[in-house]
Amino acid sequence: MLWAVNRRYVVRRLLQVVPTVLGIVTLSFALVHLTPGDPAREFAGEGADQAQIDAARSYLGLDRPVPEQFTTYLRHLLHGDLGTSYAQRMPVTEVIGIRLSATLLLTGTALVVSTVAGVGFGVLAARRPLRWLDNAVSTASLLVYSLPAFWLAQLAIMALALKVHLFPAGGMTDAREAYTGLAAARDIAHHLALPALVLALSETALVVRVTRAGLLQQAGQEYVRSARAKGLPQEQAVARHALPNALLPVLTIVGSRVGYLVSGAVLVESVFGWPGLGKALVDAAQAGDHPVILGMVLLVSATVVTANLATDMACAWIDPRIAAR
Amino acid sequence: MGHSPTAVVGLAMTALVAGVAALAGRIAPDYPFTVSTPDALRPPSARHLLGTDQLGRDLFTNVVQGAHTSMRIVAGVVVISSVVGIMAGCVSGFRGGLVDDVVMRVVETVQSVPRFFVAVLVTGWFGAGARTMTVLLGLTSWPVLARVVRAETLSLREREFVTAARTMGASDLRIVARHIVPNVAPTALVMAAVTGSRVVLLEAGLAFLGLGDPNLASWGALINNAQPYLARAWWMSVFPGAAMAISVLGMNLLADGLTDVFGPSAGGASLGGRSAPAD
Amino acid sequence: MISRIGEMKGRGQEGFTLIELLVVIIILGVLSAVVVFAVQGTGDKGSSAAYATDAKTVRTAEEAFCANKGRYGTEDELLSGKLLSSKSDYHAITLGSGGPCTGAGVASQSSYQITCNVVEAGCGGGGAVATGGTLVVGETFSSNTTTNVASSTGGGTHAWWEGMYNGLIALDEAGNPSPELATVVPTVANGGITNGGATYTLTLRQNVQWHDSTVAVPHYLDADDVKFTFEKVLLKYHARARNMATPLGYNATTCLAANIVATNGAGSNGGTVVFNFTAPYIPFLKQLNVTEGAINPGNSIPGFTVGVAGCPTQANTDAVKVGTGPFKFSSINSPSAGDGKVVKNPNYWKPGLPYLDGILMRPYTADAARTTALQSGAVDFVWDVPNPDVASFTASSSFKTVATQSLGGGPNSVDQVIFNLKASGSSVATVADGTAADHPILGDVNVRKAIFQALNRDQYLNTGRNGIGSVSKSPISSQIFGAETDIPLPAFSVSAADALLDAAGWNGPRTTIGTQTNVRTALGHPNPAIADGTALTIRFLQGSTTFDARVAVIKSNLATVGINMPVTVNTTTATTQVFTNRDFDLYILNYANGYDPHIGVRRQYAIDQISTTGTPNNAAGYRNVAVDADFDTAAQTLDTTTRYNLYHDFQTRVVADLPYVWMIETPNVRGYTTQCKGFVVWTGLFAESASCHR
Repeated sequence: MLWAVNRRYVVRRLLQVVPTVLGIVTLSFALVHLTPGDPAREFAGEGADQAQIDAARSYLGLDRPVPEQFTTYLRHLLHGDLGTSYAQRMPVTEVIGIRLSATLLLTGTALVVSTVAGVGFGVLAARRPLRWLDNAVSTASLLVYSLPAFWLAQLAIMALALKVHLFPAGGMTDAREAYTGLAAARDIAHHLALPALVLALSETALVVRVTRAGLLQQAGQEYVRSARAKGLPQEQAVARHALPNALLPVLTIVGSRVGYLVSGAVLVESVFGWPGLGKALVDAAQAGDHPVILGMVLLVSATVVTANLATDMACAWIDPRIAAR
Repeated sequence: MGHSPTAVVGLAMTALVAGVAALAGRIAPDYPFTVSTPDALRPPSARHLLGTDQLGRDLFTNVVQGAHTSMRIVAGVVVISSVVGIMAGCVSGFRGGLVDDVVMRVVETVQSVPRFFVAVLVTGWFGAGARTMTVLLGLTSWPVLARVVRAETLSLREREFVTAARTMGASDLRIVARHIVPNVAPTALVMAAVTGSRVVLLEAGLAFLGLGDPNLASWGALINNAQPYLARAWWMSVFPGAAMAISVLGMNLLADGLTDVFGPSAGGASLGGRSAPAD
Repeated sequence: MISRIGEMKGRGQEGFTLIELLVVIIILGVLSAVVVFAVQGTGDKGSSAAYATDAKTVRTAEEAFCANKGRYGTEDELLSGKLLSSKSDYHAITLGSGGPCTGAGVASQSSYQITCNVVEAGCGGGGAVATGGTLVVGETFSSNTTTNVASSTGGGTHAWWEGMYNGLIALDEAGNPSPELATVVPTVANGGITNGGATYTLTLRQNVQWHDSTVAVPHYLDADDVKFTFEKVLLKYHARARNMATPLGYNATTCLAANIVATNGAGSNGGTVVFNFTAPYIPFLKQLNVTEGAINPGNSIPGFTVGVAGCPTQANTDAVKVGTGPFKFSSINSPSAGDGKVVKNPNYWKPGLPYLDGILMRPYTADAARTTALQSGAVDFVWDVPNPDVASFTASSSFKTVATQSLGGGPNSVDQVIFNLKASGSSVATVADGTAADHPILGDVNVRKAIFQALNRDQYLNTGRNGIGSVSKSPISSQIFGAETDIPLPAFSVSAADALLDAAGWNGPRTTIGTQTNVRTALGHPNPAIADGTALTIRFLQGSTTFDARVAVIKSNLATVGINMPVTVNTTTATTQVFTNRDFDLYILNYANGYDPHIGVRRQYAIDQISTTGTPNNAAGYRNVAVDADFDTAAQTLDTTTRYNLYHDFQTRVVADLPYVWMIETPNVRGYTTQCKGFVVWTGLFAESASCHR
């Protein structure tokens, strides 16, 4: 019975994704094609003559009517083909693929660190509301949430990389040594620590606040009180009954946080020289490399949609009432 | 509001920033871009209250006029996103059915497209202008508000005062204007504060990438400009950074406090229950 | 909510719950893992630093011994001479041939070797000239899959990949030629230049192996390689080499250059190449170095053969990553995305070179990132020290800075403010044939002169570029032939600028735009389209954020004389706006003048250079038949005095017309750690003889 409700929910939710994805594709395509600049000229290279530019235009299909370009784009998209980069003259999937793992590593680490640390500090803060620890954690999180990440990043480099030499100042690997195996992982982790922590900071602040608010709300609920009435100590009542429910909001915001993290990564990557999508985005924007930008917007959007879908599913699984709604 | 010291502090900080922004022309009337070689990299002094940058430009003038720029963009974005968000939410919640479905898909679409990426593109292509940025951020900042308003409209729709108005023959538009909008106003207010704080950070982020409006004094541009001088001229980075932190913190506190004041229904929109769009 | 919190207050109980404990453990785990990684990382750095210090101590002792005894000594001799206080911890010293030492330099390279006793990363040997090791270069430009420096003038391409190639003739920093792949520099005296400068004969070096040469299938440089490179690559795709297309009678449709005659050599190839220009062409020798004329292997692009009609695409020419240079292509995007790598060419034709095993290139496009990378030791060498940081690197004993007139894309660069002489939006064709309407404001030479005089170029240099460079004194870079010193440029004078603007019809009542309160308005302007009261607004288009500080100075200078200058920073569409739509008022470019006025200066003024191609050329839309004649005659004139006078005439004319403001000459500053030496900073072959002691 419960599963039946869930299955209907799952199907409905999946169907809802279709128009959204179509909307995203259309919107991005329109954005990119409404902008000035001549990609054919870009593709033909500097100093190309008119004949070469025309040849490039026809090669890229830019001489076709826009609706036809759109359907062609859609058809290629379905085959996993995002087109050819104007500036790099290689498949967009390749341009993005090279950069993707670095960004995934950075944002993934930041996501895990901020979630774990955020829930931890949130629980600590909620244990004794309005006491010094709670006040300290809440104030700190609000403060951290109000500071721009790129500013923090620069300060972190100054303090921890240049003054104390605890971390490298940038990059993802040591350029001097070609490490392999465990040493390579250690090298990357060493480079990853600072950007990931900076990126995780403001997200941690957010998770702290959500966790704390959720716990305080749940602590007052009937079932916690009745658990208390049955003789369970408050701590255990909260831990066993309130925490899982309080963590539901933490789960629901994972999807949107993925989007925030990827955007934050653009800035943090540019400060740390982290070779991820963010740097590629800035390069592509400056070079007018439309297909690459379009590909990246689609990729990030798709990630957000998927993350939202996954969290919805997870929520429905944890709390079937959501699916029944 | 007396119940919430948070709201009072937040309001005070926001009012301070807004006041400075509004009176920028009086407080610091000078042309902010005057370059003066002998005055380069001067620390704060009586003549230059917040010091000067590497070109000898006065930072006080720039920080004060930067508040004007920042708050003007914030105001524009808040107006656009509030109008669009409330309208979309009301229509969606009140009409339901197909309209609701369509609006919600649009909401989801806009929410999924990374705001920051789009901003990088648009400013990169159309040139970085305050107006472009305002419209762009306005048109991408409304989905959360629309969702919350829709939820509230759904619950209000069946309340007795609405059904009463309907039986008395009031038009949909009138019901929405008279009964729904006033009820969602607190939510919109909280959201305005949340949006405002994000916009300050977004504008600064874009300026950091060199995509700010070059013809206006801007905190983000000042911080960007200060990057090579962090070790030599702390004031170049600290003062604009502090101005930004004060306004963002103020708006965040305000949002928090208002949530306390209005109760948890408005809190759905605050930091505590964010389901904000991808930035 | 308040009441709920109050309710919770009294309930606190001591002690952690299981979950809290778990969370804390996880956090501690993550943090400690991070710290452990960090500390271990620094530990490695610690020991490699110790190895380096040890090696350096030994080397210092050897040099001191050498100064006294005229030769290098054994470890015992160093110890007994009290030059070493104790035996080296990590290194053994072996003496080489034992000949006299000559201090640092190539000659002494084998006279002693220090080798590492411990098998550890970071412990490297090295003698007077250390061999081996990888040089890490912090690049200003992003990595680029365009690797062929013969088919592109892109600054990024050249800075990254020139080390893979050679030119026929090398040029020193002042542009003086020396042989490279050619055995001698052709002159009239040695018979290499004949026909009054129309025919050049170049003899190629033998036994020069291409990177793809193997013992089984050796591949040597020959004359066909040179002809192929000119036909299919240089004359077709290299923006400055294309200057030679017409004088060489090149057919760009079939990609054939019948006027280049190649005769291959026999054993280990080589041979001679004769260039028959249709008329004397004097700049030729300045267009044969690795930047202007890198040589590719012939017939290397499938489907294209030397002397057979057919044009490869630019992408085709890029696919062949083979040259004769000191370094071979290794990889792009490895070990991490954006990186580029070249490795030592073991068969390099200059014996013993290069010393390095390879170069790893990593982009640090943000100025601050490049500075921290060099400071922190993450990189050894940066192409372009950000201007504000030059002073502190120069002062530091750990780093060396060298200014050079050369940039990746071409040498002797000048910042120029460009006036759009014709009405915005005029088509390129009407600008070129002279029928386009004049720019309503800037069409007036007196307004241009007013702007020239309003610009404080000293301030622009000292404040906008931290004093690195020099104020331009003539339309031609002072570094090259033809630069004139006795034609004064309009001097900085606010009062003179004000007077000129007053007289030009811009003396209406002042108005306010934004925070600028003194903006001039028109009053009785001669152009009827400009009504009285029109504000004097001149748009400034800025194609790159690199110019931020400099444009701020221009904006401030123009505000002083009552001109409102809104800035648009438009990185992507700027070139389209300037070269296709001509939709701008002022624009700024950094023009490389090359080693000869014909290469880099002509293109800024010649009518045939008003074109839609995005290469920085005649952006002003300047049109003067007499100036074109000066250039064309000068290119064909072998006699230096006559040639000089022609360029003098050109400069007199353009200083009267003022299509540009020649702002400052802009050298670039390279920076590198003192652990490395031997750089030749003005060329892309900068690391050919570089070595690093660590």
